[in-house]
Amino acid sequence: MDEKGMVQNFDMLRAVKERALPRLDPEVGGSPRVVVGLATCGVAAGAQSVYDAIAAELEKQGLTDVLLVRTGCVGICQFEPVVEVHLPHQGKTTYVRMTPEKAVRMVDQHLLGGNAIAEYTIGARQ
Amino acid sequence: MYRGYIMVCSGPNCGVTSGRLADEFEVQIKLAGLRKEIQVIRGGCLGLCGSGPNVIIFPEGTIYSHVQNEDAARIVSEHLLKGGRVEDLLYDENQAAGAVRSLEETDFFQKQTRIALRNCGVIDPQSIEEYIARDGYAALYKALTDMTPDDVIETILASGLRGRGGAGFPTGLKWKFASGNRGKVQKYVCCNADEGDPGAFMDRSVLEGDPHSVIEAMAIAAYAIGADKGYVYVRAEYPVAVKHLGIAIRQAEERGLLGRHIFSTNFSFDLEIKLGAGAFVCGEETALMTSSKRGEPHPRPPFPAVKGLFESPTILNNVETYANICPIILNGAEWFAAIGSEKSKGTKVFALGGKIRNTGLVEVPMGTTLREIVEDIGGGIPKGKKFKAAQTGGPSGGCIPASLIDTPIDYDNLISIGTMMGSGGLIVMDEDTCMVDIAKFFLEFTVDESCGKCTPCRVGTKRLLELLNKITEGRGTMEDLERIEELAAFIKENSLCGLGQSACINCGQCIVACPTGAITTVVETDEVWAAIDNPQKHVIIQTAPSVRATLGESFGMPAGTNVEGKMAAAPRRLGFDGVYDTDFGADMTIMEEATEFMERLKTRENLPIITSCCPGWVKYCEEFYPEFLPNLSSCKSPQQMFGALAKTYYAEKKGLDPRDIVCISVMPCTAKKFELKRDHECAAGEGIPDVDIALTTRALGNMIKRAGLLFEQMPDEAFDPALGIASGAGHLFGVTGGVMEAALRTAAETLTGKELADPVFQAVRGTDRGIKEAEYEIGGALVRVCCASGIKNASQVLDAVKFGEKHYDFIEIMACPGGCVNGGGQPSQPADMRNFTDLKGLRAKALYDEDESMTLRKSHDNPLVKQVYEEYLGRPGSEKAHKILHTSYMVRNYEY
Repeated sequence: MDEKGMVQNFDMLRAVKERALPRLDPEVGGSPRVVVGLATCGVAAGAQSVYDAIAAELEKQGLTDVLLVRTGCVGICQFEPVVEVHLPHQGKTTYVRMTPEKAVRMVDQHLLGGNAIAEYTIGARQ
Repeated sequence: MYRGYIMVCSGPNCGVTSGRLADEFEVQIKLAGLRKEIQVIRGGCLGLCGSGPNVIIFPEGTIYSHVQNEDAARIVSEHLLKGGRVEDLLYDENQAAGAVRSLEETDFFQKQTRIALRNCGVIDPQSIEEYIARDGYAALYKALTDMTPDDVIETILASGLRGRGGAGFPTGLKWKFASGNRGKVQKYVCCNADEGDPGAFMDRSVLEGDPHSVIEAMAIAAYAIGADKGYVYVRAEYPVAVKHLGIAIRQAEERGLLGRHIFSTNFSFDLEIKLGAGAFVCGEETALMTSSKRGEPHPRPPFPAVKGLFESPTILNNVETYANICPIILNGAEWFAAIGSEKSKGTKVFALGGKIRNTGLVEVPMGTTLREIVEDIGGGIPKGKKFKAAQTGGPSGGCIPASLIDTPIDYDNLISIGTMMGSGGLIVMDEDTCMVDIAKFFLEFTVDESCGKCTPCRVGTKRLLELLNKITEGRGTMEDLERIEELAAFIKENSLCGLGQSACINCGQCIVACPTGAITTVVETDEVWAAIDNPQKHVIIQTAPSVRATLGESFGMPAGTNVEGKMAAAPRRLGFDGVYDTDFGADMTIMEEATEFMERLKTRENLPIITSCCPGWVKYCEEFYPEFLPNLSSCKSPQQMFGALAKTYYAEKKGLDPRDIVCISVMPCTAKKFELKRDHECAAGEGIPDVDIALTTRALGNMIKRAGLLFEQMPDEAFDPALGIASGAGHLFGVTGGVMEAALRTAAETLTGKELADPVFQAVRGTDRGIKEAEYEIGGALVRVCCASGIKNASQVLDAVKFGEKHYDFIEIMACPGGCVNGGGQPSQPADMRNFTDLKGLRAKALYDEDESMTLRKSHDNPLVKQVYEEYLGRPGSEKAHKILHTSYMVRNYEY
């Protein structure tokens, strides 16, 4: 069955699921996953420029294995733009009220350097 | 030059250990052959002594903490040689401080139960694969292959799921009502995403963040009731939701999860998006289903399950309701019924707002107390303030006071304390919140949502808001309370939307501006057909100047196509006894108006003269600028002059009783319907209106379509000569500046007695400017003219004249921007056309071109005009002409 093919029975459905799971879950796929909330609330708070800054910095740093993904609203609208970083074996880090500048620092220090920036996380803001 | 550095923290607290550590690093670097590339630096204290000794690798800046001597070799080999990281040694400030780092660890998140929002903020909504990875479309598979439609309905019934849109009707029951006659009748499944309550955005979030969950659930619902077609009704103001839903539908179609024979079964299902204009009323289910025509509620029964969309059995569920369906199918009714309170099962999504720390979307089990939502999940009230009340249920709901904060929230409890669940808006107020402010907030909402058609609502709510503003600013008086009560009662009594006894000038711009065609006008085509059918009646039709430039659009012809010939041919085949041109009336208007103007120029009285052809403008003047009524030309409009002559001069010539003549006009205008009912518009006698029915351009298009005529293939024919000869000047009436130009042509030649070298008055042409000024020398006199189109421009010009800033002799005003070519009765064009095409410019060009192509370009040269004066009226401005062709105005005062 090809990548974008028809899903006509349960096996085909399971095949799509199994192919997508590594992408969705870094614990399975082994690649870091960065999701940016790009629902209306996020976009209104400036999430698109945050997304663009992350994409540019990932390219600049050659971090080709990092999966950058758009997602919907996770519910914490007062904290938008929200960026969640999920590194294999390290759980998720939720960055809140991000800016393009903070996002570049996040790529450099967290994804490249390995250190989460605590002061930008949700814990620091609560 | 080194490529990197290892900085080993050598502060006093871990000085000895870190000194040895630095030595160890130097050894390991030598062993690795990196001596020339990496330098070890003994740095000062980082201040992170709790996690020391610390090591920082530059240039990356990676911090390793609790580093022991034996770790040095690992760091050198993993980090410096292989370019990776030693994950277990990475410094984590949060762990060091015991702090929370991810959303999932917060109280905000942990106290929630996410069913409807299960995928929001988790998956990529534009990836069907990620949805499937979270067990997407497994519920549809299970339903189609493992369950009968009745099984599905029984499961939903047993789960106890109730509608999440507000009313809380059991979803399974709704489905059951619609399930009869499967396969025998056409049925529909609809989704209500016309979220309207202030502050509520649950539906938007689900559609933006997890559109497939709604698509899959709608397919399951369709299978359950035996439907094969679905519609999602979404507000046009939710562009991201619309986009994501559209992408998701396409993906599901590509994968065969929508369309024919889903999962190789006999079940087929198609889904379409319908855009709503965002009117609050359209969220009401009966209004929603008819909103393609007009979004108004209808009485129930019949319920939609019996007679809904297109009169077929229909189920309509809210977005959030659908978002719960798949987990119920997958996990079973018992799983769902175990969540929530006795009569309200499952969870509810709330949009938390107001005076609360964590604003946003939360999903909690039914029966959660308000206190838990506010204090635990919402993080309490900022700045240590006290809770005062929470508002639920949107504009139809109510406020829950502090004394009831421990009420478990479910459908029935909320109703018993005087509010309602609504769609899920929850606005928190603290001790500083003024309840008058809250009233103001909802009033602002109603001010915004007022469709603007009737004055009590449009103006009344605004005035009410101003009174409340006054009170909240500390300037209130006791009398204000009385006025509020009086005004509120008045608004309630008098505003049953649509009865425009009001400052509405009937211009109809709201109709052509509405992106979804939700506003309509009175349609009188049935009366016209009845008149045509009546052999006693002599039914004649007159078409306004601009109609020839726009009627083609009703038949898909390009904007700006001149269809005068076909427009004359079609009504003949509809059965009209005479097919005539309003432009003859326009020429008559010019004769009278130019005469009036020249007289006023001579006496210098009541200048500037202001045109009176536009009934929207005339009513506006009567309401808001009555001081200019003496300046208005006393001439009737071309429509009315035509009708007046038809029922007097023409009736005599034809030997007809004017009572037997039915004069139908086709106008680019909705205000013309009002104009023909004004006082003093019956030249042939009381009870005999000059014009009987004014149709819009749209209505004539519909009549031609209804008769099955192929308009595009009609031959080009001429108007009947009796009242059908007009000049190019008459055609120009359809565009701003046109009346002015036509009048100037006649005035100039009459005053000078000489023929104009060029009949074009370029400065008053064009639709791109709302206000056009020019000065002309005519017969030795300077004539200062101004043309304004659009009511805003009109009021600007009138104010300037009123305050002596501007001086004109002749002002032309048209209510619609650009003039009649852009009138409220013209064919509706979609928003993209209106936004990106110069519609009025193209239509105006058709009229300018028509004028250029003619030899008869001046009203006073029109042989029919001359004949009417010779045979009947005498001369322009005569007593008889005044009796038949002139009118009067009134001051209109409205007390709000």
